Amino acid sequence: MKRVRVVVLGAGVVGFSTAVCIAEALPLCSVTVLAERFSPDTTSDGAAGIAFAAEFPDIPLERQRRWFKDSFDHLLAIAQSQDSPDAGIMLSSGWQIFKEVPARKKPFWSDFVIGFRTMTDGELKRFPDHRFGQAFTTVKCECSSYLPWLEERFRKAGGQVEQRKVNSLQELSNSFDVIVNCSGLGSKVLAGDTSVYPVRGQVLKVEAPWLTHFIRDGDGKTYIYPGMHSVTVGGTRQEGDWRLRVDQGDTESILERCSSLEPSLKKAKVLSQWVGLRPSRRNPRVERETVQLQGRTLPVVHNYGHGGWGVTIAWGTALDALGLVRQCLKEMPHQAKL
Amino acid sequence: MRVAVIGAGVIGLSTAQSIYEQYHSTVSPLTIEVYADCFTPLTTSDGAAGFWQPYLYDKGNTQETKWNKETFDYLLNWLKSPEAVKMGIFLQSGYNLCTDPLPEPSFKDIVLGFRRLTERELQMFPGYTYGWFNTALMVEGKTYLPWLTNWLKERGVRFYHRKIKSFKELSDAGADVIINCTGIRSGELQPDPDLKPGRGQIVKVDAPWLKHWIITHNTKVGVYNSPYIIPGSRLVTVGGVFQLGNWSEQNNSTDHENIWENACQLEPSLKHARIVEDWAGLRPVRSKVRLERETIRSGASAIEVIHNYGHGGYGLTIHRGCAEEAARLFGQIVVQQGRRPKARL
Repeated sequence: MKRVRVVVLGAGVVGFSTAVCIAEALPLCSVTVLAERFSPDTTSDGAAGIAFAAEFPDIPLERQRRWFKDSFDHLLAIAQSQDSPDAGIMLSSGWQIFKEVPARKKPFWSDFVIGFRTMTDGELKRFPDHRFGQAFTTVKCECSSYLPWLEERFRKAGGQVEQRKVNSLQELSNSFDVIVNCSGLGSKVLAGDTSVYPVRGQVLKVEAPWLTHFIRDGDGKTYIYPGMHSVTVGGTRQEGDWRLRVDQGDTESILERCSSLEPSLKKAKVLSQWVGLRPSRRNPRVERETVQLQGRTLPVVHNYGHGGWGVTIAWGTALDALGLVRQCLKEMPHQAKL
Repeated sequence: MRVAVIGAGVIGLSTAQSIYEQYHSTVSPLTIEVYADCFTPLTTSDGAAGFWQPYLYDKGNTQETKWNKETFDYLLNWLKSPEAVKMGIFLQSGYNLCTDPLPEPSFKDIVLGFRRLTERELQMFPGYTYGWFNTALMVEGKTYLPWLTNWLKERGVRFYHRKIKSFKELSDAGADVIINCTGIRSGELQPDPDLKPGRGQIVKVDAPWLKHWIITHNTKVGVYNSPYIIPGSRLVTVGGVFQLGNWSEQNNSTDHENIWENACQLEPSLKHARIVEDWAGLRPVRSKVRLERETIRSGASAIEVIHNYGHGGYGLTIHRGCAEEAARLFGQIVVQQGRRPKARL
């Protein structure tokens, strides 16, 4: 009986989360992560990693709630454990503030974060341009630590890792039986998905160890996220912008906007700058299909298009993808799979 | 007028500041001198975690609650300025954990966003069934004291590294008013049976993933005798003990073991933290802060003393309120001695 050979394309947070879920749940499958880039060179590595949900227009609310809750609970458990520093996951409390009172004061994810409540007037005094705010505790997941930690967990579960650029799924048809596509923006080519587009984000890492709370403007463009060794300040949301180079105008704009929320940032030393392209799509694509590759019919499970919410819902979508892989295996005859 | 402040911890320095702020333009000349045998970073204020939080209950001592509030509001106001970083002031949120339900603390309306802990939060801390979450302030002594020192020096306040043996010594040298901010060693200048050391020991560790303070309360063992974890801007302070009557400033390995074991139970990730150093200090404990005037007769003359000591484990928490009050008392002396060029009421 042949082992089913599963390949996971992509070694970012979605790729490795999905690979770990599959390798741990299906020990009789052989699982390989195949990617051109690994930590610290993935999109995930630059992300601040604050768990914070968005709302996708076409995904049923129940599924989105499950994505967020499963991911949050998974990250929280690690944050509360001895693994917290190694995995790069910590608790983070703070405020999301709005210049205008939002239509929905209590978003769907308010149940899943910790201690969610409306800010008091006393708390809002510090933000004179803002009229409403939410206070809560969430988790911050730093992928430059989390990805290596996931990789170790993946290898312990028998997973293999290979560094290689894949230009087309055709290249994989002989070596694998199930393809799990977590290639983010790469899906534009690999899945021929024209609806995938970059949303450029620039961030600065500054040295400001006196900052312990996150502050995020509800418009999603200005945020301050204190991490373990530096504070990530940002950002930008430039749709369709493929530029990976740091833009000086963006740097100045970020520092100005963030300093107006947090004056002490004026004294902070800038340690580094980074640009990433959020692998965006109207909705994340978590579904399966079959493709014809060089005479073979291969099942493909897609898990991409998470935009700026990769860290936030990676684990939940990975569990969904695992479910889809199980379905693929059920439909395969004559092979050891489970 | 010559003012001699004895003590260069947070109480001494902030009192000198308040006196200068309130009187330098109306009392001329105003000479302020600070005398101490110990300066930052070696004072009790330097060793403390620098966390603003009074004891849970003021036991009717509403005066102290008022001074605590004044201090909190004063520090909070500084946050608007980039200067706050140089002062060692920043916000930090966290958890007050109790083994049993307790009445709400005296500071609930002073801090920001005070609320009860949710079930989910309590599950994060097994063994604790009740508690509160709020945002409070940090004011780190090792940064704040140098800032205060600079502030005073820039305004002509002189510092003298000397142990003062008596109030008379300073009075004889020409001081008109003596401010006694000698903390735990006030008894050496004037016996005070109410003043006792509340020995504390802490472990400072490198654990930058911790961004919340966690203070536990156990009514059976008393304040500061149960674990607390207070992240600072560079290191995390882990405690604690509160040993009344113990004068030892040496680190004790049994205390270290107990503190460390309890803290790791509270926060398992600490097991990976690098231990940097231990420190032991003596909280200047008293039934209440001694903040009052005393006129000491010495032969034919009178020595005007303002006492400002006995702030226990909440010196940083209460310092500004007390400093302002001490300055007010100083103002009374100024008026009494007819030293005011213009009456300003």
